[in-house]
Amino acid sequence: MTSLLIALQFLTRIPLPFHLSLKPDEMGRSMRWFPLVGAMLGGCVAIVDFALAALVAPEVRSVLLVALLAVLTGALHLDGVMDSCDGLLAFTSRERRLEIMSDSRVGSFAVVGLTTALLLKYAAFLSLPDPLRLPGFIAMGGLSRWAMVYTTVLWPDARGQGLGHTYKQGAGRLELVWASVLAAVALVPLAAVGLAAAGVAVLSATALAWYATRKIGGLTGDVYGAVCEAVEILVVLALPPLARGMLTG
Amino acid sequence: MRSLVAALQFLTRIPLPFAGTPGADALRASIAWFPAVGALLGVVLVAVDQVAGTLLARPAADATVLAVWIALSGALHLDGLVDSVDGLVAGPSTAARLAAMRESTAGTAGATAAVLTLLVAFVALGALHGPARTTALLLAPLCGRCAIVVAYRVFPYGRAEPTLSLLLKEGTAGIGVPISLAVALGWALLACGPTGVAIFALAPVIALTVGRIALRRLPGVTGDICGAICEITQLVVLLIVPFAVRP
Repeated sequence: MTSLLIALQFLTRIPLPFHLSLKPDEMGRSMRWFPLVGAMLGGCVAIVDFALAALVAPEVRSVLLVALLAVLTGALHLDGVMDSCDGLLAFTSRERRLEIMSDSRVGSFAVVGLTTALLLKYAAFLSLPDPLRLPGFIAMGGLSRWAMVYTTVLWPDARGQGLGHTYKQGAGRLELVWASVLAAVALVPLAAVGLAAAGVAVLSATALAWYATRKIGGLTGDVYGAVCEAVEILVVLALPPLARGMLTG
Repeated sequence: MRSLVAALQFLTRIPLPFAGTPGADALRASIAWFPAVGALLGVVLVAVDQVAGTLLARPAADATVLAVWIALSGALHLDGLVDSVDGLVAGPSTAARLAAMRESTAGTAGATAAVLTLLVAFVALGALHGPARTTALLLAPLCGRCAIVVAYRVFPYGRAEPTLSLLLKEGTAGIGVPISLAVALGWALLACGPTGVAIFALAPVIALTVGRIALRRLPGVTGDICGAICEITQLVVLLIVPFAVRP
């Protein structure tokens, strides 16, 4: 149970009544709970979405949900998007890319990447039809955090140190199996569409992991964050056409 | 052919697995291919828009087209916009401005410019429907790259040290550039009729206007300034097309 609280403490800014001091191997082991924490975040989004439905226009509702997710997660993964864009898109050597990614300053690729990601997320949320919103947000949270576990466990680590490395050290196949089961449970409300959404998550996470491995020889904590955001966006973006395709065909 | 490959490698992130690093001569000659690459990007964007439009609801299709647009060019020109704005607001000397443009960190002014550009592009795309949308997507990337060519040809180069942009500037001296701009104009007429020609005329106008503004604060244009000119031209085309084309 401690590991669930560790995952909650790391992935969210939801105030816990106590502070856990983290041991490296416990951090890795907490990854098994990532999809559950993600599904909870998705559930929070869905509840707020439901509460806002009668009050504000759809555009306002969707943009507020994007903001809510950023606040709930302390913009943790958006930080990863920014650092990954600066590091992976620059024209330079592998070593320099890793330096750029640890640099806390923001470059133009980070600004463009962040803005594009937020615009895409807003548009994706806005385009999600009512029946898909509750199950869709839960699946989005579950799959995006599962994708971090998948890329941490099965893809190489670029740096050999840092937060991402610490997680990789403590997480193994067992965590991935646990996480996969939890993610599958989060997909149950979507039924067959959930399976297709899982396909989207696997494909997009794999594509990003492959790209990072080609550029810097593996992934870092920042890239895991970028994977999380990319899967969130692409799953929600893909849900309406997937649902339409599977209901009519 | 080598110069066309060099233009594609420089202006896009389209993977060309068998193309090596382009030499100086290929890069010099590549500038004459910029309008052609712009035309190609326009066609690709129209195709992406058709697919996105059938699969996704409007706002999602708009954001997807915009994201593909940025990804295809690797945010090259947006990076130029950020650096240009950071450079132009820096002071007090020309040297300080040129140095600020080199700085890889985005400043507040540059970041604001990039966010606003993307926001305006997203909203402008949302207001484009039917034939106007196709016209805008075909012509915006084309006009953007043509404006780059015009700016390099007309204005002096701003940096003393040899750079990739200096090679492009040198490449504009020949007859290739006027020919390629004439072909681009022909393509605009063929694809979008007389309206296309009118919109195409925005490219040199914006290149000359923005270039002149830059020259008040810098000794000449740089690669970053030309990137900013491309972005501004694209944005103006997106905003103006609804006035020119009946939906």
